[in-house]
Amino acid sequence: MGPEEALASALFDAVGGTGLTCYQVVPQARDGGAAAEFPYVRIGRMVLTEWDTKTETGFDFAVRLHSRWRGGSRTLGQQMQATLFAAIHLQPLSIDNGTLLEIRRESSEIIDLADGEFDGVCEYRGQFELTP
Amino acid sequence: MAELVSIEGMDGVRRALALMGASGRKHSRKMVRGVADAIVEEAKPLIPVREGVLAKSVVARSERDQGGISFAAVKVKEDAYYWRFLEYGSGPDGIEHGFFMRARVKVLADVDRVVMASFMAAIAGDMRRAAGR
Repeated sequence: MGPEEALASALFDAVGGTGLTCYQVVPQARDGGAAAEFPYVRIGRMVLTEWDTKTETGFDFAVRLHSRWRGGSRTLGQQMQATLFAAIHLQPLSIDNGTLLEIRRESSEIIDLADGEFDGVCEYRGQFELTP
Repeated sequence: MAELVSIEGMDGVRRALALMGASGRKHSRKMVRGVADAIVEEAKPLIPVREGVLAKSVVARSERDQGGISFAAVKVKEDAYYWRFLEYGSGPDGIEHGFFMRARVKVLADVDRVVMASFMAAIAGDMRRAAGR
């Protein structure tokens, strides 16, 4: 398992552990619309930057978690973001073939979309090192 | 005999700026702005282009100092309000382009070099002005 997959898997497990539905790729219906079960969390854009020392290799990373829901208020999304924060921010996530050094939430916002949908975007940043 | 001064890394730059007084504060503002400029430069080629409005609307701005700390921001002008849909992937193409995210990660991974280059440019400018050129 490569580092990107290992990180995505760790996040998938952490989000799944909260009871929220988690997707890496949102399923599509035959007509091209979303076939996802709302509300859900999507693991979004992930950027890894490699760093090396004499003895260790690791990665700085930034990753976005998108909370998506439909409704008439932001409350559900705020609750989802709080749930993710409790499960991920500064938590010791288990990474295959690596050790997480730190993960913290850097930013959080909610974007209004059409048709009563919302996108709650939380950006997490952190570092992990690979097991030699 | 000329005296050589050695400045290494971010901490060295920070110490040098603190010793430079008002001139240091001015350079500090320029350097923070330099980081924002670098993010803009990295982001622009990553922005999807149709008419080029968004790419032209991304700018770096110096902000007011707060508590003696310099701030700069990357901003998008109002006519490209739709930037967030492209950045976060909720636009019609459904692709999370993440141009700002990718640019920021790249610049911050190399921020020592960006800051040092900006510092050297500022010092070279001071020296040229002092020499009357």
